[in-house]
Amino acid sequence: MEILLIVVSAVFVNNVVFARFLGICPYIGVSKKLDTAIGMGFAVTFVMTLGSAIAYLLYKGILVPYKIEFMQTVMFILVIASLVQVVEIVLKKVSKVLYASLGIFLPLITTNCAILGVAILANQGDYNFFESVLFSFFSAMGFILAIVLFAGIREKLETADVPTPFKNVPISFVVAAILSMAFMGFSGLVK
Amino acid sequence: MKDALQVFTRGFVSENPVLKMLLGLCPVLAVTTTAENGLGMGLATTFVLLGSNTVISASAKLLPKTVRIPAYIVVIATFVTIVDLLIKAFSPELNQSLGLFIPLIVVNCMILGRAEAYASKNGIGYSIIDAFGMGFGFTFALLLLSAMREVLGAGTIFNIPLVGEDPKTILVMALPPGAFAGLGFIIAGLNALEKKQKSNA
Amino acid sequence: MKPIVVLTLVGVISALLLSYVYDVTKEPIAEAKAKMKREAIQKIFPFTFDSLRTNKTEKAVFYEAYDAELNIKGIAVETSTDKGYSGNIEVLVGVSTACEVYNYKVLAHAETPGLGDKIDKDKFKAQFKGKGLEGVVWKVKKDDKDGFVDELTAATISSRAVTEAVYQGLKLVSEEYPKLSDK
Repeated sequence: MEILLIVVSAVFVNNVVFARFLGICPYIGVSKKLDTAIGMGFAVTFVMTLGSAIAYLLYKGILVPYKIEFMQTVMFILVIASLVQVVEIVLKKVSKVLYASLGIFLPLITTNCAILGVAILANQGDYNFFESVLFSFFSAMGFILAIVLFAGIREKLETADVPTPFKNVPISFVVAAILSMAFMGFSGLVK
Repeated sequence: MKDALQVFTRGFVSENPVLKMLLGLCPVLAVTTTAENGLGMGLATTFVLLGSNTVISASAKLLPKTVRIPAYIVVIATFVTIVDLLIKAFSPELNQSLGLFIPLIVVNCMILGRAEAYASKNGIGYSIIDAFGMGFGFTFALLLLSAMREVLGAGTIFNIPLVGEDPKTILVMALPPGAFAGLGFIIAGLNALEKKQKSNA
Repeated sequence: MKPIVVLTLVGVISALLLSYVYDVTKEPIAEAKAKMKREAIQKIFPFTFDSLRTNKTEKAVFYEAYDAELNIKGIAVETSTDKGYSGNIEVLVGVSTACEVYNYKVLAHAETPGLGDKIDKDKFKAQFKGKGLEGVVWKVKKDDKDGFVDELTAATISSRAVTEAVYQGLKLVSEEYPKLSDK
């Protein structure tokens, strides 16, 4: 029950993009085409889940015992930045195909605030290790859901007759507004 | 001199980090429910940008290329933590309303962007001017959006009521959809203005 | 080698600088926190208190408000409920020495803006003033015709949850608080 609560809350009710405003840059930036959106989504899922897990262990294992919680921001961002580097190197060696499709998104992920944001949130809530990994993974699923929905609509928008000042970016924000309004309907689903 | 002025002013409109370059959007959307929050976030970000631009332009030659980005990130994260602690100490109310978004200044892509694209290639003097220009441009955009959302959504500005107690307001402007739509309309308005200027010239 | 040395150096400088700033701001942060709490508690009492004392039991933390002559004027207690429409609602309840509610303040909630969040508006709160345990039915009118709480339009769940939370606070002060030996 507890687990289902975390899942539904992370994916729908407190969706990273629509309710928490995390990861807006890639959300607007790489959502013009459906397949790049999906690629970005998977890269985010990978780094977010792994990053949160490592950050959790370091936080509880080093920062708390030595009472240096104020180093949290510096440490987490270093974990994420180095993780991105490692993933890039490993991916390059192991799978050329995967690297070709995900590679270009990886550097962008370091400055994706959803990753750092979720890592901090997963530590703030009273989650145990398993729950915080679960929370991170399903937050990423929420991000995929948001970006894929959005990219699908944007592909259609290209052929739509939009007033000139609203072309491209402004109309995308208006669409995002309507989507986030739809997601507000999920509130109350989790008590 | 003319050069410096140009570096300073371009952050306001022509290269505004939010309205033109679409950088650092998360805090722009998340904390702009009241003008006070918008201003606070803008100034905190400006402070971090000022610190990181200064340190990075001063130390650019000492940093080997391979570890450049991690080093920048550590510098930025350090300044962010300083701001975080200072806000907690001297303005706990602001800390309560900005919350998570203070540590997230680290990943505001505008800051890393300016470090990489400007501060690492220019002298300290110009980097400081650039930080002020971009920082104020960022603050300006935040203030614009947050004032609009506060007036329409809560009927107040800087917590001063405009239309009496308990007004009927466009509540959705204070909610997430209002942030997206508000920014969309501001950018569209700017586009329309620019087009008009061009056709006049 | 050089990159590693440089990066380590950057890290060490950062850690040193931060521990210095942390040291300097430690006191002001603690003070600011205490001041915030004091201001929150002041808002739920109709009188101005002179000093506060924290008194803990296993179940709750009580804040006792004293006047200048060290007479106890009221007790504040934090309670929370998970019966809100979305997520927990935390309230700070101010109770008189005669065990009647002065007022309460919502510390944290995630209720629907514009509907459920009216639980923190004075108009709704006013209903609770002076209510005690004796002869008062702690229910919203929709659930029990003898209840005294007029539920908010379209936010019955939020109204019910707050009623419950305030009631819990009152009960803590009447049942748990007297168990404290050090008063």
